Amino acid sequence: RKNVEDFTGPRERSDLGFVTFDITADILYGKNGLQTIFDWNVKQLFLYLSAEYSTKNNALNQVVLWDKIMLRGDNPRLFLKDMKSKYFFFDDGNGLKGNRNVTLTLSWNVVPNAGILPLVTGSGHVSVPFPDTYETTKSY
Amino acid sequence: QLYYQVLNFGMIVSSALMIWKGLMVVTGSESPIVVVLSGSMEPAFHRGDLLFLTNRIEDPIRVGEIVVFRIEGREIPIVHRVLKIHEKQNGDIKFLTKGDNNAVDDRGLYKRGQNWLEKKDVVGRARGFVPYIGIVTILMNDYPKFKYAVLFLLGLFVLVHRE
Repeated sequence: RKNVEDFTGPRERSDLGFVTFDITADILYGKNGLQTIFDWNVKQLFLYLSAEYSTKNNALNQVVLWDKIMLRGDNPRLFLKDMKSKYFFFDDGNGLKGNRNVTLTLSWNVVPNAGILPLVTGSGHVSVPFPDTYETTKSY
Repeated sequence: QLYYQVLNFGMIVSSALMIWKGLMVVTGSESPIVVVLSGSMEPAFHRGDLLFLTNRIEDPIRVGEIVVFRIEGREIPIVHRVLKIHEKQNGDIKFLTKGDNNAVDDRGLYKRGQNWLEKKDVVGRARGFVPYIGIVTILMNDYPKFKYAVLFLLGLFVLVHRE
């Protein structure tokens, strides 16, 4: 994790976090009458991995690190390894340094052919503690 | 006879208005139903889809939600997904959005110098949707003649129906 000028937005120095992750997921596809999330009215799932944490500046921070659209008919199994975050993980300030309580959660938005748009949060979550010092070399 | 027809027409219009205002109160949004105008949320939503919104203050804004917002000084509402939020202890929140179908986040769309959206920019949260139906309003907007034709037909229908 580094302390870098947030070049995507406000021009102050903020913490930039680097996270790599693996995702293994099996979206049940309902063979043999099993329960499935892809029922007749589901057009797609919008999956996203978000990091949630607290800092001195802000009581609650949520950052989407990665997302994926899974269409009806796509391979329902996710087996991703060593993924880098899709979006820059900038904090609003310097709250990532030494932060032990950064939690990663996988959630998804169910998009129907027509009807309600529910947001579902996965039941597992992973804690990612950030080190107390900044990296000085680019090892990303 | 004519008097009755005028009253009848007035009743229909005011009932429609009442339902619309009622919807506004129940959902807490000034615009409880919006039409998707661009393809920036494909493949989930396409131009012409109809979205049903709520805007209850108690509902916190969280990442992943689909929000409809207006940029200060601009008329057109935008429908995108929340990518990042930073919320203070007292509930003040600033957040960033991005269209599913866009490669980059919305900072380029915001006002010059604006980096975040706030609660006041939000028109509502998308809770449900119906595809295609909104195409009618887009057509009426792009082709005013079509709008007059629709209104004329509606008026005709009301008159004829009374016979």
